[in-house]
Amino acid sequence: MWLIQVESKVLLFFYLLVTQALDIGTILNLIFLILFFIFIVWGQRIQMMILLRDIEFAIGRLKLMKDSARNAVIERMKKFSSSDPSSFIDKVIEYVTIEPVSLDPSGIIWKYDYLLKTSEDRIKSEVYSFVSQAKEEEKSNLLNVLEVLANLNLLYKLMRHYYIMGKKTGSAFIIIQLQAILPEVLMNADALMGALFAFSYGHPVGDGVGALVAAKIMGSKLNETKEIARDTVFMETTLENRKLGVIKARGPGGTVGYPGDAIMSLLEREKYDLVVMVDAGLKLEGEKSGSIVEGVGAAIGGIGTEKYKIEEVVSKKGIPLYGVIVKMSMKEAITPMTEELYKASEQVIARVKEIIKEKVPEDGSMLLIGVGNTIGIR
Amino acid sequence: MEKTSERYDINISLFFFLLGFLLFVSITLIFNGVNEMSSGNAINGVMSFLLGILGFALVAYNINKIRHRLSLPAVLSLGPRVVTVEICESCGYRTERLFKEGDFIFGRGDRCPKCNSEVPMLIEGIYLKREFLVKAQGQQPYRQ
Repeated sequence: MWLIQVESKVLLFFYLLVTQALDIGTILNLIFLILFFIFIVWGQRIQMMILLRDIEFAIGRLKLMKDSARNAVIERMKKFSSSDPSSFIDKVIEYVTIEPVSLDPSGIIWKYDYLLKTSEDRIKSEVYSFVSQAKEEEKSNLLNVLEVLANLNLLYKLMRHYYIMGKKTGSAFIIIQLQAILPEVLMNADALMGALFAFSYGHPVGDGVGALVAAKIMGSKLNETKEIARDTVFMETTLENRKLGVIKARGPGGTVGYPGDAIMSLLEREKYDLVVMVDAGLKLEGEKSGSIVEGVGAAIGGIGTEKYKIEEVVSKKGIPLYGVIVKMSMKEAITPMTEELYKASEQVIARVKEIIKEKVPEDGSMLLIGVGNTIGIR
Repeated sequence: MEKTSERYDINISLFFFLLGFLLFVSITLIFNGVNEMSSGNAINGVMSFLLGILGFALVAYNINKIRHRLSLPAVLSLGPRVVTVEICESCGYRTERLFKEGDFIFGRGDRCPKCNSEVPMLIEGIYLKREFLVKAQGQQPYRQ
């Protein structure tokens, strides 16, 4: 009540000041004089207040996104479970995987590999038992959805942490750095919201272009695939009169599989003249989405365990390793696949055919690995 | 714990209070400017009027900024824009329809409307139509 009284008195004072007491020239002089002293004394503080307000709005928007994403996931999970999933979701998105000690880096890759698989097993078993009525691919998709929600939650909490730190310490450097990364953070959060949408409904995502190429090459033989590693399938076919082995993640549920394990077990018993990996790669601003680049090396992202396994085995066996990369933005990689990226898969297949004709002899063989999340792709 | 962090959440009511105050001052200045001009004091009138317009523009700019920042990303409305392309293996008829849950590439879709073959059509592709995407990106969801 007192606030309204003060407010009405202030407004009345200003009204009388502007309309009756002073002429406009005097008011302007007064304003400039007051502003001059304000900026001399509190200039930096005012700048910080403006920056903090920007950050506050960004955090507000992140919170809005996180909450609406959480509600969407709750609604989704209610379809497959009779109990309320709220507390279960809150528990799962806070799970952490503690990194192995890196003081002695020897053998750290295998420790990472073990911990990541253990972490995946734990979340998988809990989610699968919670939504036991769902189909296999819907369970996989729910795992992806929860992962996206966990990332969104982490993004919000990190931004809030640095904002509170900046405000508590009054450090201009923390605040300015935070404000500088705001557009990128919001872009990533937007991309995550798109990912949540794609994974909820089982749309193929841009990252799945490698898996799409592999599936298209497998064609009608998709039913003849066999599981060669966890969530990873393999089959043999012929392309341009050469033997071709194809590896991809098992679809249509959302998973990236373990192509590193697959190639290790395969090259133990089979001989190939060339290994080609097809994957999605992040484009630089200004580059065209769906453009294709080629190179040498393991075209695979992630923490690095699968990349290590592939590099290790091909270098030991002395097999050339080529990569074909389809360029896309971060947002395109995790949101529903665009028409451009879908059409790029045809160009990749044409390029793979050229490579096998150019680099593999008639009686030789090539191994093709379609890397990426196979959601929405069989 | 949650209470402590909520202290730092957006103080949006204070912001709107300040915007409201600025709006009041701006309107007062505009009226004052019009009065001054009609009573023959042109210079004071124009200055007051311009100051009022400036304040009014500042309020409109800030409200527009908030509207963009508090809106959910445009990608959420992409749902009905994902299409499924089906091909009939018997007659080669190709059709495009909106995506429905359960569709996946190299899965089976609807029956062929042309030859009504017993084998459902093969889902050849699922993607976001380009014209829809351009429209959605035009909304600039992450504008600062």
